[in-house]
Amino acid sequence: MWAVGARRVLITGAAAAVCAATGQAFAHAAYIQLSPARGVEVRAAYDSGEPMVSAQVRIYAPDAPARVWLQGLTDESGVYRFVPDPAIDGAWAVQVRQAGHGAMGEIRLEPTSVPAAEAALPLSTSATGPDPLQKALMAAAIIWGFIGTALYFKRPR
Amino acid sequence: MMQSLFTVSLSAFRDRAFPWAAALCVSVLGMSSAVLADQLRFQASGEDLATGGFVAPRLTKDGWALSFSHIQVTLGDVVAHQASPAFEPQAGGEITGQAQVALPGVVTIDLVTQADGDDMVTLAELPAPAGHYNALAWSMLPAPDGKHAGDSLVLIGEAEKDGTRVAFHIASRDAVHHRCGEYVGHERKGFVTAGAPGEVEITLHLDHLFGRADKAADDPMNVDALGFAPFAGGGERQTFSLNGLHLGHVGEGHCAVALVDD
Repeated sequence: MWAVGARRVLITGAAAAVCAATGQAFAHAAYIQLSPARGVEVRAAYDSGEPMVSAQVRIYAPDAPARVWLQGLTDESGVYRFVPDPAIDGAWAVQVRQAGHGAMGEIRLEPTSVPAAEAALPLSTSATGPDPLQKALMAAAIIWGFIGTALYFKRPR
Repeated sequence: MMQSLFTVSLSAFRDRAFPWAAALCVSVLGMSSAVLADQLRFQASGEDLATGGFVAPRLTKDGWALSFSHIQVTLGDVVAHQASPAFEPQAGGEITGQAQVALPGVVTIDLVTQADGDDMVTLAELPAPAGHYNALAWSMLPAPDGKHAGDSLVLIGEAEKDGTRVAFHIASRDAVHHRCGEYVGHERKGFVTAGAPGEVEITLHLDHLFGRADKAADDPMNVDALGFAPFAGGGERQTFSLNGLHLGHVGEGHCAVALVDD
């Protein structure tokens, strides 16, 4: 059948608001924020050992167990990964179905603290981060944003 | 007030009776919902293969079309559990949990003639502590009495292949115990809350008996299934063993199955 694998550290990406601050300087630059997160790996297989490829996966959060919290498909290895909301502790239920066969499982997660460290990285083939000039421009854009906002509210009416 | 209600004219009676009738209806509905609160409904289904038969492209693995006039199954030892931890049938063991609701006695049903529009037969609706009933144990048992006494599963109908028609009556006397986890289907089931009964479902997959022509021949289900060929000779009553055939499910969820010795 299938089993919920051990919790693993996953890297998840999210669009970064910092793009807006540097939009004029790097019109084609894209940024993602990366932060380590505790995730769950679901590995789905038939009892013959054959992976359940492209099987439907539904995740149910502990605070609303009858409502689908997240859904997707397993990959070519029968694997699906997701990162539960760390603010919701309890038993997370996972359902995998394919062609009239399916299974349910649950994994109980304890409250965890969201890692504070975050890094803003440019999305490119290079693994390097922003160079000093980019950092200076980003900082200047943010500071100018504060100054502009302050001036707006202090303007004579 | 009540006296004046019955001494006024007809029009006045209608005017005054309406609020009373409305209040009465509300009260009755309120009592009904109170009765329905914290209830667990036990259901069984042979799905559309029972009510609609094996119709192309879903023929039996050996190419027979089947229609059923009766599918009688006798069920007992039916217990719904709030299992903790969740019961995993592939891991085996016993179902453990805080609360359980047992269906008393043995019940014989017909998955064809008693099925509703959703191919479902309701066995009973019982008071149940609120919570999530995420495991179900049940047995197919020989019918204690009736026309098919001694048989746990009876299938009666007609088969057709290449213009040949065969009336069949096949039956098993085996007793089989099932320990199942949570129902698996389009929606989760088994949540008993105030005002909303929960449901647990015993599901018989007839394709695990007859196989499916629209599945690969080496599909594990087809490998294990008997097909219809062994019964193609027809006859008054042909028998088969449920040993090794995993007909019993909870929706699409599998169960740990054990043949019960006589």
